Amino acid sequence: MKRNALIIITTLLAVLLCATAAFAQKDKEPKVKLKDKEIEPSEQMERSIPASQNVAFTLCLTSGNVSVRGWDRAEVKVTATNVRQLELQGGGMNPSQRVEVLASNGASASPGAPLGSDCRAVSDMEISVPRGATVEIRLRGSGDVEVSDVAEARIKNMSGDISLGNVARAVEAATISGDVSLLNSAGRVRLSSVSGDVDATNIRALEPGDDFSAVSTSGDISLENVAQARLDANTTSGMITMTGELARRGSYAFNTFSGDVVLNIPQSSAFRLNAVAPQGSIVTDFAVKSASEGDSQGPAREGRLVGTYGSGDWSNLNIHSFSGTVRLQKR
Amino acid sequence: MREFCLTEEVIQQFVDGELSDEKTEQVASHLAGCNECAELLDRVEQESAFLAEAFAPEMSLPVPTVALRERLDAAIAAMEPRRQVATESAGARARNWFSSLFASFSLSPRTGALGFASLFVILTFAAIFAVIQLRQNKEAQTALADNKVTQPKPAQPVAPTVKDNNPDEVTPAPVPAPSEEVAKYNPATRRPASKRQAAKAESPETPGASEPKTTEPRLLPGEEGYLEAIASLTTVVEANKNEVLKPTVRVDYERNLAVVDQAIASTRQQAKRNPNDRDAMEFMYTAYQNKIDLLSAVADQTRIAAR
Repeated sequence: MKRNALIIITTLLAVLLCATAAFAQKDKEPKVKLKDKEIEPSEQMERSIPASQNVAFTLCLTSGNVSVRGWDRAEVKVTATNVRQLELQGGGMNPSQRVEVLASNGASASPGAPLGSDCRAVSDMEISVPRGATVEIRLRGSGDVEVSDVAEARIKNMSGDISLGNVARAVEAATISGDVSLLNSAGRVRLSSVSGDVDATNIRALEPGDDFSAVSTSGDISLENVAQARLDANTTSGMITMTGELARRGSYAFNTFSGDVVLNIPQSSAFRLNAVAPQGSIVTDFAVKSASEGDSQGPAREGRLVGTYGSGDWSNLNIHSFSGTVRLQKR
Repeated sequence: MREFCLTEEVIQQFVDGELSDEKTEQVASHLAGCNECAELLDRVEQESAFLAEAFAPEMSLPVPTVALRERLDAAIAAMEPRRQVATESAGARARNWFSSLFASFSLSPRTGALGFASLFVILTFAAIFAVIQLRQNKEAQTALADNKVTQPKPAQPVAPTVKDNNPDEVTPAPVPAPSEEVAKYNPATRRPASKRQAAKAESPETPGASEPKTTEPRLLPGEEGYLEAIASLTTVVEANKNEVLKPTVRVDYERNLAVVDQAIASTRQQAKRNPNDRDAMEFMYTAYQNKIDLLSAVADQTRIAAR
């Protein structure tokens, strides 16, 4: 009996010894590292490609948060999370004048097979592009998009906020369910959201033909120091607020169905006013010289006020609010 | 305040697209007016989105098509009786074999202990070997992926990408893009449409509303063209919205549609009372244009999402 126990214990000890030795051997082997950080293959992936200063950059995803920054290097760099395949498809001359991001969450079906631009990937991405780049991003689903320090930006997503800053030449941004904001930019501007707010601050025109358009169905539109000479703001149930100087001989159109329109403009402004609020009211701090009734200050009668204020190069102000209040306030 | 709130189960079914069309409409309508349910929907959708993202790599793997699965099921069904017979005979054979095997062993306690100890040692070694192999494979894969990541991309120009090159992928039918003419409608240049066409898309109270109509109200000047454009865009959106719009976005869309329909109804009433009032007509045209802008935005997004 003792002999049997001895045999079993010896065998178990031998097994334990072998196992310990095996694991100790494995620990001595060097660990695989990526830039001094251990990373699972599906966790994060990075790609870069030389690109011209005015590269046209495109990205289409199913969803994910995307951040794009302009930098001084002639290179496009993309860092993506949760993808198994990532490629930067260059086109045009060398360095590339067009760069498209191709990504997939799944492994390659066959080795060497090209990745399609099918917009199926779900990933958060951080992207650096040359400052002169034109950036086009489309999200089939949801995700927040941030773009800054580029020449042009064209962004579309279904839901999620779009934040743009320091865009030098042109902006187009559209979302169904999310806010759109633009800061310190120039050129032609088109901003739209169905249910979100639209904000723009410190926007200037590059050329005389540059116009500004902001549209929302139920969101508010807030504009501050927007210098384009042609400005159009349209919302159905939201409120429109504009603060800043009017461009000389500018053309402004503000339309809302049930929201208020509030303009905070300098006392030195000169404008030709056509304000209509059939079921609302019109209140102005300016002594608008009405064509029929002489000077008019305070609430306008019958929801309509047509006249001029100031002298010199008048701007045209067309303001329509069906059931809201139109307010012209001195800054 | 609503009398009742939707259960999480119903909202989950709504998010998963498992409800009937009629029930889906009822739920969407309820969600548009119930903040509590809208918040619950938001939470359910966030959870679904979290799960979808977590399982994205697995979900993107190719799966057999429905046709292939049906063929496989049919083949398995055809083989079922034969396999049952074969199983029975094999089972009987195995039982006999094990009976004869155990019958030939009459172990003493000492021999038995030795046998079990040997078996234990073999199994332990096998397990250790398997663990070591598994670790080696994993690290080799990590090293391979690491090399891929750090390897710089060649700068040479590459051929343009082939779009949608995965033949196994089943994608929804493409949505026609709303034309520029439709999106930027100008009532002064619009060709008049027939009464029947226009009536398809209008209601007695709100000509631009989406509900089916039975009577033909008298149209105001300039309305027909707007209605035609709205009908065209509505067809595009309605055909795809359940497949491509997220439930929260769909609710947002329905809510905003109600807002513009309300605006159209109010401004139209005003215009109808004062047909010679240019302002009233302008408000109505603006309300129609807002609806067209809304539908264009959603149609455009459904086109992108349906790719």
